[in-house]
This record gives sequence, C-alpha cells and structure tokens, in this order.
Amino acid sequence: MSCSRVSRELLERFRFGETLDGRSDRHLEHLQVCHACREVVGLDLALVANLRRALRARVAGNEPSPGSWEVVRRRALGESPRLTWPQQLMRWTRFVPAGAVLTVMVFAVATSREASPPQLAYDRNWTAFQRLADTGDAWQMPWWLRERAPSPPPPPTHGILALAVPDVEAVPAPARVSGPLE
Amino acid sequence: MQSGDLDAFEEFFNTYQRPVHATALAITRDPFLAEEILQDCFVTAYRVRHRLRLDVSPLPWLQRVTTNLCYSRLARRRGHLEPLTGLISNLVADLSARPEQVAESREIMEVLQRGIDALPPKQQAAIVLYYLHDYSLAEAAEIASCRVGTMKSRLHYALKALRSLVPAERRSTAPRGATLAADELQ
Repeated sequence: MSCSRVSRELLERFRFGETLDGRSDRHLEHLQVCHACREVVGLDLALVANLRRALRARVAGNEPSPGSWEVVRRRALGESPRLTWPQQLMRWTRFVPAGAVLTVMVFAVATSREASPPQLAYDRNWTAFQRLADTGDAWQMPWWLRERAPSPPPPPTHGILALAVPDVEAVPAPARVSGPLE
Repeated sequence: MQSGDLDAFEEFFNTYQRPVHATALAITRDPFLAEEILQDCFVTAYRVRHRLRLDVSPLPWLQRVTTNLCYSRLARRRGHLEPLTGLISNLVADLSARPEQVAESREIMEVLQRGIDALPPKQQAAIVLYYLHDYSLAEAAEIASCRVGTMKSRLHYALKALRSLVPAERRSTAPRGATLAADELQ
C-alpha cells in the first residue's frame, strides 16, 4: 500500500471522525512500519486538535448579554402582523396617484412635437461651439469636442432669416479678366 | 409559543441562545456583531413561529439562520476584520508547559485564528459546525443546506488551507495525546 493512498484514505477517516474498523487494518499495518506516514497522520491530528482549541478560544468567556432578551422581546412586539395578499395589494394603492402623474408626464414628453432630442442636442452643441469661437476661446474646448464640433447648419431657406443671409449661388461670379500670363 | 406567548418564547430563547451565540461569535469573532445576529435570529424565529415544528429540535434551523446571517454580515464587512484581540489570550491560560512552548503554542493559535478568518464563509461555517459544535457530517450538511459530500469537501479544503499555514514542525505543538504515537497503533 502506497504512502499517498494511506495519507488520503486514513487521514480522511481520522478527520471525519470515522472509527477504525476492519477496513483500516491494512492502513494501520502500513503506519506500523512507515515513519513518514505516521508523522503525517500525527501532525494532521495535532492540527485538528489545535483547530478545536482555536475555535473554543473564540467563544470562551463570551456569553450572550443579559439584555438580549429584552431587545428581542421589544423587536418581536414591534413586528407588524403579517398581511394577507389583499392587504398587501391595498398597500400599493397609495402609489396610484403618483403613477398616474408620471404616466401623463411621460406621455406628454413622448408626444411633444417641439423638437426631437437629436436636433436639440445638435443645436446645443453648435451654440456652445459658436460662443467659444466668437470669443476666441475655442482652444478651451476639449480636443474631442473640437474634432467633433458640428458643421455649420445649412442656411435657412425660408422665413425671415433667409432674407438676411445672402444666397451665395445667386451672386454672379466676377468676370474673369484676361491678363498677360494667359 | 406558536400562539405568540412571550413567556414561552422567552423559555425558547433561554434554551437555545448559547449555541446560536457561539456559532455567530466563532464565525464573526465580533461580540457585538454576534449579539446582533443572535437577536436577528430569534426575531426571525418569532416571526415564523407558526411554521416551527414542535416535534423536532429547532436548533438545526436556528443554526442555519445564524450561519446565513453571518454570511450576509461578513460579506458586508469583508476586509474590515479587526486584528487579533484578547480572545486568544484566554487560550493558553491552562498550559503549564515551558514558557517557550507556551509562546509557540500561542503563535500557532494566532496563525490558526488568522487562517480561520481568511477562509471563505462557507468553510468557516463548516468547521464551526463540525469541530466546535461537534455536529455529525449529516447534521452539519443539513444545517448548511448542502450534501454530505459538499460538507466533506468544505472541511477538506478548510483543513488544507490551514495546514499550509502552519509549518509542519510547529503543528506538533498540540494538547497532550493529539499526536499519533506508535504505541497507539498496537
């Protein structure tokens, strides 16, 4: 019988408190002649004994405090009685008005035709960029915003603003003047 | 007790508070936390008193609630364990051996205490149930809501971890009779 098998099988029996019955005879015969295994088994028993002492030391001299019962009694008396399911359902009815208001608000936002969220975000970015560019502080913008700054919006094609912006294509190109180099 | 009689519940509390407190204290090593867990455990018991069976001992159930409470509390305060305290000093009071042996034994105990603290909570609960309370493997497995094989495995890995912490030459500093002498095998 090999040492590893003895260590594995016999240690497990010792460790888990099994009695040494007839099945252990061969293990014990091995231990009689093998000093190394005897030492391993003995050391493992010593470890278990020390472990028991360490665990007992954790609780030694510590009793539950005399006031524990009073705390438990007070908490037990303060426990609300267990509710039946209709009662539990009724408890949720207090949230009905808040839920209704929230639903109306969500509905109002979802059906709003003012501007779509992407357009709002675009306008906000562009306004910020323009403000910084106008004041010469564009360098204050983070690089990722400088690189992602939106392109200028297309000029208005209708409404009163269309009159204020000259139509580039409508202005005739200057006549080309032939010079001596041509 | 099931009808809410507080006198009966007080008797129930007095009967079972010590093992529950010992389990909580052995796992958490914090007397205040152990006290809280004890109270929580019995408040839970009072809340479900209608479902407690009177024909079997409620102790395994109480221990299960206690270990679960310990798991959740330890998970919250993992890493905030206090350093070793005077708890260990109680340990060697009964030793009348040589001073160097006492010091060595104390050192082993400190290593073991740190090792127990470092174990995963389920392994801690396993060694507390098995080696402190001396529950059988089947009882400990029932309390921990696992199979006997799983409980064996937890104990095995816990001991393996502890064994690796204590050097072999030190492990032999044990109470008298712990080491296996050749004549015991005769």
